[in-house]
Amino acid sequence: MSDAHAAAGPHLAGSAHAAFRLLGQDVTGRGKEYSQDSHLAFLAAGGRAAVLTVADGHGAAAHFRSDLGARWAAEEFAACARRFVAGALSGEEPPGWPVRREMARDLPRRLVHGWRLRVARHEASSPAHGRAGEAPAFDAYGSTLLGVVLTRELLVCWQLGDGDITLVWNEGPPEAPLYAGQDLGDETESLCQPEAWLRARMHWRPLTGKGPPPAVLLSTDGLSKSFEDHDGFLGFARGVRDRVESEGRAQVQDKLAGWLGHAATHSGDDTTLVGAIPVPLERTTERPE
Amino acid sequence: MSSTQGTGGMLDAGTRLTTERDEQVTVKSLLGFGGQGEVYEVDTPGGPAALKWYFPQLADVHRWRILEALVDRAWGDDRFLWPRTIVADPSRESFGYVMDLRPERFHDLPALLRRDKAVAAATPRSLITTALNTVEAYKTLHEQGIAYRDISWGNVFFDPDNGDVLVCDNDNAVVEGESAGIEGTMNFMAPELVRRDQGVKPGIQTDLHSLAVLLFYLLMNHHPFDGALELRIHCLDEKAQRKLYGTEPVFVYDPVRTANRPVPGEQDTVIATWGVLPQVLRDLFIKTFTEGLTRPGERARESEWRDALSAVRDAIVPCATCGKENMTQPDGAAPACWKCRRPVDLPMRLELTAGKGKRRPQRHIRLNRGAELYPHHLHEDPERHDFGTPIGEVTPHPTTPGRFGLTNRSTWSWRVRRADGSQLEVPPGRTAALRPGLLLELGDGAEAVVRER
Repeated sequence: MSDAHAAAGPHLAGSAHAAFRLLGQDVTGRGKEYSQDSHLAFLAAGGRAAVLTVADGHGAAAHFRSDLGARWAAEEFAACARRFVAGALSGEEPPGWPVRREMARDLPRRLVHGWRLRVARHEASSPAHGRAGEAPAFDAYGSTLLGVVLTRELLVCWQLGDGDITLVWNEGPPEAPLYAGQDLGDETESLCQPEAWLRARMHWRPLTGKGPPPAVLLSTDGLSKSFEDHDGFLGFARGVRDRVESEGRAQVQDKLAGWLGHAATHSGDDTTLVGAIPVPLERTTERPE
Repeated sequence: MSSTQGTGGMLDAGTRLTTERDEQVTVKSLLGFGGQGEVYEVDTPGGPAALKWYFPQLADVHRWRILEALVDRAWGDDRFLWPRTIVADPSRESFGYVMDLRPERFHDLPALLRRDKAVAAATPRSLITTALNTVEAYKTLHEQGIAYRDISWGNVFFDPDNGDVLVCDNDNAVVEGESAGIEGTMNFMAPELVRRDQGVKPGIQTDLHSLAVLLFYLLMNHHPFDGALELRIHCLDEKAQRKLYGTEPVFVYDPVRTANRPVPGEQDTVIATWGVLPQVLRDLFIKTFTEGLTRPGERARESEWRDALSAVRDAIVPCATCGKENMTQPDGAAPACWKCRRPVDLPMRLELTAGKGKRRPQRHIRLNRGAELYPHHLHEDPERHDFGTPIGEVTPHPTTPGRFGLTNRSTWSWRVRRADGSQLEVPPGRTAALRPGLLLELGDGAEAVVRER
């Protein structure tokens, strides 16, 4: 039995006319007082867009405020994603693909700037090292960030640092569009690095084929590291999608804490997963607008 | 009978299509997505190739005509992935074209900006060479009367080891003056296009602005207008993009308008990279991004970029303390090393006068160990810089440390004149000892003298 703590609920927001159903769960690593992960999953643009984000505070002694850093990372991503959705995907005449793509490319720039402002503001009133008047100690708040904006027409993924964004399709193996290979140590790209936005990776994907993937999952590295290899992790991702298909979202959401808690006992790390599952088109169009 | 499998894109794997040359291509996998369409790997009778397939809303008659004109040109230049043949299928809403696959050694500019491991081999020399090759590639295109119209960081790929470039997405190129609308990447577009000034069309003149932005990204790792003003933006939506890049562009190092300087702590890379950029390149950026914003004729031309970049490449000097390469001002004073901040020890300099005609440009080549002379050094207006076949190389003296010579790697003899008036033949494979005052006749009318610093 896992002694990990689980948290979901307030981080997850839905809508009556949703094009997507959402999953979200955060489990605190074994023996840890509190989680340094943070996540948000919500619908925007009247339910037409899903916004997902997961942030993993580094947690080591040098990053002793990384729980705050992770929370602000997720919140800043959410704010940037709302603006992206409003500017690029909503309105009577949305801009063309090149403008949207440029907005997407620029998002990490805004995110990092917003995050740094949050840290600097906090540091001004409560300096991490107790010395007022010094430059903000960004290192103390270090965090990674994964984010996704998903509609029926477009998928954009952003990643800074480790963690996994997984696309599960009906056919073929799950896809990890920003996977950079197995980590060799604990070093990761971080929001606390100078000009961190330069290190963000983006996956831009107009959904021109058969619509959105049946599942888009974001998870902190605590989850993938609990598997022997990456294929094992991808198998888990497919299993989550298959269970949603066969048992329903609510059942899977109820079980997530147990699954992630089990994973956390292997990795010892905080473990978080959020996901978006598209609602079949006939079901959304049946609903009154 | 063939079976197909989803790729996540418009075309399934296994889909068979026919080219305008009546060849059959079979879709294998989806390689990537862009602002105009998708790129697939396909099997063709000639082997694996790439297929660009347009989004249906962009696949119109006009684009078809542009593609036809480009295919007819049958461009054979190895620096371009040129459209080879059009692919269409009456049962589908779109069409595309076949081009060569991009070799894996080529990487995009964003990989450099995020310090990707794949481009870790990049050095000041390979980046200056990349810039030079990029400029020459567009110069060649422009000399054919073709405007590229969509120069951006997604279209130029480079080899971090040697600076070779590959220009992709050439399907937006048109003959200068031809009417062709484009919704390009706003941060690379000339301001008059972003503002949609009346009567302005994308062409060679607007390409020069985009080229300068690309070079700034390559050498400074930053956008030339992203300074303090950019940080006030919450979301770079269409309105913000038009303002920043069209109606109110301000160069971050505009000598007069200083409101948009980079912000320390937020934009440190450009502060550092601009700090070590030789003045000869700074001048061209300043000219293009100040006067050139409102007077397109003032933008630096490709030949100006080529000469300046070539000169800076010849003046790259390794730091004697830490070994890092430093760009120095050609014919200029010694800078402090960008890495260890110790003064760079400048080696002797070859002051070379090229060509035979009226215009005999002077070149300054720093004679570091391993420095090389190339055929372009001898020509007053070289068609193309080719770094594959050096004609001379600075080599160490076989027995005396600290002494160097210039070894003749060409197929013809050089003549050396010493300060005492004596002359010496330097046949291929032989070496002339380097000392200040030494005069060399290198062939093709080129003469050189060795200077102390």
